[in-house]
Amino acid sequence: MSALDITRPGTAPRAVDRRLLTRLRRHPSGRAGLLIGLALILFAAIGAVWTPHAPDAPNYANALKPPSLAHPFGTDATGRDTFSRAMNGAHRSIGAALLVLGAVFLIGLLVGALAGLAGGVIDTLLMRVADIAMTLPGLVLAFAMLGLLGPGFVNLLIALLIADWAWYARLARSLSLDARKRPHVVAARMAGIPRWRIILGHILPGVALQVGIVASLALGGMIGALSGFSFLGLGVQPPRAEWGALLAESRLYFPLASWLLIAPAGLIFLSVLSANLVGNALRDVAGPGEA
Amino acid sequence: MKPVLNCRGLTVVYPGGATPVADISFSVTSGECFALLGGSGAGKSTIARALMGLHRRGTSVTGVLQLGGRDMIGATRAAWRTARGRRVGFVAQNPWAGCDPLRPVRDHVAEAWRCHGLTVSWREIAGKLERLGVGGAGARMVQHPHTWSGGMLQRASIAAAGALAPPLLIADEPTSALDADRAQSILDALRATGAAVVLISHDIGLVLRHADRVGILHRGALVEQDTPDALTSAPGHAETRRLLAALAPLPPRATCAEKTPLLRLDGVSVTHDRGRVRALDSADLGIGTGEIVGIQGPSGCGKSTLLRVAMGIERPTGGRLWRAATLDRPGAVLPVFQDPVGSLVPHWPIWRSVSEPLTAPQLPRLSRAARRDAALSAMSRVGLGDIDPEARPSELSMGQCQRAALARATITGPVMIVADEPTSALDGASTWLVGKLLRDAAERGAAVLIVSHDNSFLKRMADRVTFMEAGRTLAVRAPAHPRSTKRP
Repeated sequence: MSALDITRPGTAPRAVDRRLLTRLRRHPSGRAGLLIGLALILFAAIGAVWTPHAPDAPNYANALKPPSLAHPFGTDATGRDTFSRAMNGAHRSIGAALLVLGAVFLIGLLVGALAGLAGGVIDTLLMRVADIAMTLPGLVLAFAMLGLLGPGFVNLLIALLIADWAWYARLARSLSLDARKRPHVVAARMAGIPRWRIILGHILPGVALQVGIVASLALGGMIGALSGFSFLGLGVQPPRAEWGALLAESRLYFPLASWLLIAPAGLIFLSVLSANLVGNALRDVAGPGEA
Repeated sequence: MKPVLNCRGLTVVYPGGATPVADISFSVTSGECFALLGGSGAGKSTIARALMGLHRRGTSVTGVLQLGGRDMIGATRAAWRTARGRRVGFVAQNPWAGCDPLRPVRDHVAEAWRCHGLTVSWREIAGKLERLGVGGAGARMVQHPHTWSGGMLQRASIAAAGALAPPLLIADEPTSALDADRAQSILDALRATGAAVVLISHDIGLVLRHADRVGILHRGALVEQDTPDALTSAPGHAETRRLLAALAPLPPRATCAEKTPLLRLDGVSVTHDRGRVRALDSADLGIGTGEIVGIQGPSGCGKSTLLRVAMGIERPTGGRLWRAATLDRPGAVLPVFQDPVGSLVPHWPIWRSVSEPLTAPQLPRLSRAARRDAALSAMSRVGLGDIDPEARPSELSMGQCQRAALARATITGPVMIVADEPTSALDGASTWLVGKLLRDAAERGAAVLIVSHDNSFLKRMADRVTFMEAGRTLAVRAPAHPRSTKRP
């Protein structure tokens, strides 16, 4: 045995799968979260094009019917099938949450990384803007934006985006500042690697993964927030279906038809659960070196 | 003599079924120093926790474990709490980590009595500290932990561990957070408590100097135990021989005939924060091709700043700096860092990190396959030929990562290699290897500048060693004359 023969004792060689998705699938709660999430996305995709009953057409003869075989979650005050409406609203609720988070993630990452890596005046300027955005409470800011732009789904998305980006920019900035001083970045600089390649190859992937984990944990909250605004009548406008709006409608008839609550509340619950399970698992499986 | 610690067939099984320690038998008699020596993952810390009753809930500890004649297998938590401090004391690796930064040192020592409901006078604590070599303890012990040096604070932990005169002390790497020249006095302080000591360490040099008997741990088994002399003269197990290889002298150096000067610093100073902080006061340094120059000094003396000036990433604010034109070419100076894992890109396969210097725009463009081949041959040069080139740094050991970093630092044949504490995270065998690889690079004509606080490493490695204190370089000495130790 030569002195060169140094392997880590106690660990037998084993195949390590380095793809994040495979490791996520092997993680018990990650697997459950992914399964629920996939089922919900499939449900939303089908609901966007086909539902058992027309989601928006009223049928007053059928108003406020309790759950039955034809209407498993009952019908609302104008006789529309609750299940069909929940199914049709799914792509708006889930899609909007993903859209807002995706946009917030991208804007936050770019602004934050730019501030952290450029430094100087650019950093000061961007971060003061972010500070201003952060001092205003998100909810109030979103209300103000909706007041300015008028209620509506697209305006709601813009309002949420403006309320949230600064937090991600702050996070991305501090992670970039930290990453910039890592030994492997200094080594690359010394080797004469151009700056843009260090940023793309060394710094951004790690920062993006960490910001992404935080964003995935926020997905549940985002679905809740969207539903909340729709519940207050500031999001999707009638007769369009959306989970939060459905929940708001069900409130009016709660003493008469409590079943109206089940479908939208259950679906919101499941999507928040799925997002949190996947977010937690992602944090676990991203190796200590990677995150 | 009656053993103070008797382990027979000690086995530890974690809740998940993993068995980090299997069938370990040894005993320690009073006043003896028994060392457990092994590489990382050998089960050293698991044994320490089992001997203290500090294993996680659900861990099964079986066999015989007698502390001072009393069987502790299956002892309740309350029984362990009574035993700790009275029958077994513990000295941890990092003394700062064990102290609440908001409370003065004397409170931490007094805790050893208070947690057993006993009272103690400050005078008694000061006396204990004085006896362990803390001068002026009465006045100093009201200071906070961060104002103490590591060696002083480690003495305070020893005073706390030995407060109730337990017959046995467990010391888990008690010196690895300290400068090498403090190790001797810490071990003396440990023995001065009069207790038997179980010394847990990966540092074979330290263990052979201080222990009465040594047990070699390998993959959770005690493969050999004997006196240091017997082990060095007739090592019985392959692991023992592997650990002993770290003590082998480095191959002699063929002196480079023609030395071209590369770098010259004359009275260089660096100030930070508009002159308020003097990081470097007056530093002189010179290095030429094929030379190995060591820089040694206590933490905070300006070693790293000096290194950054030499690397060209920090400009001096005073004095004269001359750099050969060859050093200004990008990639001419390549670094090796203290943190081996952090010096490789975490999300890249290892070969990509190793071959990165080849992708610099001023070098001829190579295809991905050619770069991979170059990385593989560089990796086999540093003894990493048999690892998966697609592995990520987190899958490798510290020693393997540092060798990969060395492969990267030498892949383009740089003019100068700048190493900042390259061995402080490594065990003996890896240290030896890193030393040899840096030597090889110097043989090929690279200038090698090494910052380290490991006296013996620099002594074996460097042509010249420059000592630093408080931002000044003190003297350049040939490594044959080790520094006279000023402090006790």
